[in-house]
Amino acid sequence: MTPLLQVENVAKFYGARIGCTDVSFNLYPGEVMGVVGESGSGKSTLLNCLAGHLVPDRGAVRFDTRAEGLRDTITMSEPERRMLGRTDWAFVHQHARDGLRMNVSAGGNVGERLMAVNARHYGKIRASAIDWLGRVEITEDWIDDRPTAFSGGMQQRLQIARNLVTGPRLVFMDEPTGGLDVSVQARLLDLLRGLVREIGLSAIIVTHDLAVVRLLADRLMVMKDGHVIEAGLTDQVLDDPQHAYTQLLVSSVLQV
Amino acid sequence: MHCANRRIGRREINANAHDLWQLPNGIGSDHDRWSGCGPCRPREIIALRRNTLGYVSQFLRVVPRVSTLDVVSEPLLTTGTPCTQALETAQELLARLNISERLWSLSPTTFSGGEQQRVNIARGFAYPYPALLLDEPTASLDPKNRAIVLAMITEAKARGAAIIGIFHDAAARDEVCDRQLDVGQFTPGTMV
Repeated sequence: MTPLLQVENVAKFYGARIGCTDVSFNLYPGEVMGVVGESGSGKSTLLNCLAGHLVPDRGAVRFDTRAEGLRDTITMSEPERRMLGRTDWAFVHQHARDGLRMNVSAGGNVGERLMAVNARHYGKIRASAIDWLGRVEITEDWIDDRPTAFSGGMQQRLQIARNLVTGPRLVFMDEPTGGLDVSVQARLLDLLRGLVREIGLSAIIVTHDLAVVRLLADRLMVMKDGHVIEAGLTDQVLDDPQHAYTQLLVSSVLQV
Repeated sequence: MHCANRRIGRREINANAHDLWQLPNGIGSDHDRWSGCGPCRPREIIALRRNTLGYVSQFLRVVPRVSTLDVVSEPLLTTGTPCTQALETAQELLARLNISERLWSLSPTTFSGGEQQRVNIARGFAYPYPALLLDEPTASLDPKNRAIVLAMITEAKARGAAIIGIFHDAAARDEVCDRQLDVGQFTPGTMV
């Protein structure tokens, strides 16, 4: 089986400082990988390198494209990479405002990605927008409102609908549940789990929240100072942490 | 099944169909859960867990706000069972384990310890896994439900499932186990 994403020795430096270095892994279809670590450990740098937002200084990121199989996304041309970005990839930002057009209606936000892949029939675009808003539990009567009128949790759900409408195969998520109240967070987790199960979505989720990772991710990577210090199946890493930092991280979780 | 464990040392366990193992005295028994297949790649283990190796833990860990019925039917849905059939099986199991029907639409996170354990067992037995790991399945159950769970284990054995279980309950152990293994001998420091 071909991996969906093959990451080999990816490194990114900010001058003399290490962003992230020596990161290698294979991600297979239907797998969810969690990346945890403290602030400044290189999680978001890594995610941005993988999603083509940053150019890594070293290494290769190969994606299993529909047409040509494994292609290095770092050396491919900008138009090709942008095409991937709006078809097979999706990027869910921590702050929904970064991933939405705030001055365009909710329906327009969802429809934009469809139009980017050549959907032109207004009725059909609107129908899929309604369908996806429904899946993230936003009722149809919100479709013509701008996201500025939405609550934070609704904006985040709208961002997810916008990202998933084109049926991506790989979703990058940067703190998708950060700043949401626990009830909305639970609903989002359920939604994401359902999507992974139903459409075989693969995802890389960067988060601080070990509870989110435990429920959502099959695999886990722990980062510190730009290095991956521990990786494995989520419950192996969380139930039997080997590295001192992972042990600290696991023991720091508040119990309800 | 080949087991290699980071902490407890290496050993081999052959679990045949119809065999029930009993691992007394906590030491190390929890750590045996996923230590099988040391050299396996993550994705092989993920696939193994999805389709082959069921696991009933002592603790119920679920996405909050998800209904009990959905929690129990999830293993069936991930293995490709149609939705209506999965829900039917979940309903049968919950009814059998005496979870009252008015609780089915609620999240099990608010249930009592015994109810949570029964939901966990229903979830573990929903899909007919060829191999099952049970971590003290009867620990916090009343006699009536304990008997039901033991009957379910016996049925799983009858359909040919290989089961490794941790039982502190001696009577339950004698009722369902074919073989016993004392993990005390694997305790670090006493190993030969």
